[in-house]
Amino acid sequence: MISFVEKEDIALIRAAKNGSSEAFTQIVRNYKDFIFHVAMGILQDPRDAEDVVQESFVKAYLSLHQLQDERAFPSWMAMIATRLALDLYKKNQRGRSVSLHEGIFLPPAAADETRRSDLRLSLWQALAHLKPEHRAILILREVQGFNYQEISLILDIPIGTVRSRLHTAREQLRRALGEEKGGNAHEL
Amino acid sequence: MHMSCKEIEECLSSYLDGEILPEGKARVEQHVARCPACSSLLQEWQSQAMLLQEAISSIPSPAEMESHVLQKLENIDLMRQKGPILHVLAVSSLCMGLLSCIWVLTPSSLLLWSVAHVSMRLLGGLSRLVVRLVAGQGWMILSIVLLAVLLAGLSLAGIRQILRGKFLMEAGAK
Repeated sequence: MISFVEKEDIALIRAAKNGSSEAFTQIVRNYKDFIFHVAMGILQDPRDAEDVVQESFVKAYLSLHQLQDERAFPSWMAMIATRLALDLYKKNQRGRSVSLHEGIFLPPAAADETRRSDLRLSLWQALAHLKPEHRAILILREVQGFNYQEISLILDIPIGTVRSRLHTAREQLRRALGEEKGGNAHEL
Repeated sequence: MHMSCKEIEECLSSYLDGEILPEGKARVEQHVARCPACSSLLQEWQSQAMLLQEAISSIPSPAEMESHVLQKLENIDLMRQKGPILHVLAVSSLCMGLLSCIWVLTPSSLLLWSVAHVSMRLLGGLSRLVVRLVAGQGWMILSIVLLAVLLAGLSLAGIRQILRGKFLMEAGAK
């Protein structure tokens, strides 16, 4: 969870705005996992997620001077990454039509926590049933901890839509998770 | 006033996120305390949120990702450094090209003037002068044209480099 900025990061962002490449390199190190997880949650593919990470940092590097408030850096980065991920998803959808579970990356799990990893597997598969917009809003809220105001800015939608979309996304995930748990139990 | 399960369900998401007014919060809490269905739904959403956070956060980012990002940024810095040099090169080549065009045009107009002059003389029977003029100025014109073509080529190459640099920057930004 990285929805707030540390004091050191604010100093780094200011230094990067003043042209320090070293400061931006440190920002990349601090925020790469955060951006990767946002992209991964939406796209569910590590190669596509990495592409989004690269493009997000390039875009941020070229337009950092436009960022007025350094404290808004995480939501600004999340906005760039989310929009790029949603665009890439649409672009990929135009070029291919795969079945739901085909080609979906499955996250690695430790061998000693079988039940928990089964649950994670079910959740990951259930997530694939959701629309990318619903996955995006769930990742931004549940994983990255952004509040409604920030999500509204990131996704460029009114707060009322954030509220209703989150409700729909949670309910759809719950139902899909129920189906996946049933399906995986039969397979096991 | 008691709220129905349907009404509560609509507020449950906001309640879970702490994005509800104190009045609504109290109503939800009262309802959930006596409604097993809504209480169970709330618990399910809470546990799936935890599971989602766990599942996404446990995915390691690719090992080479950081170096790929830094390489891209390095390329942008290189393009930024090269940019002004290429700009100066292209502008100077363009100026030289223009000057050479003027240079070519001036003797040409002189030649045209000479041709007109000679034609007038020709009418007077001085045809030798034509041969001398063409033979004398022809080599000069040819060399100037070649120089102009060379300089125009150089300026085009410079412009191409600048456009390529801009394209790379834009491609990087997308």
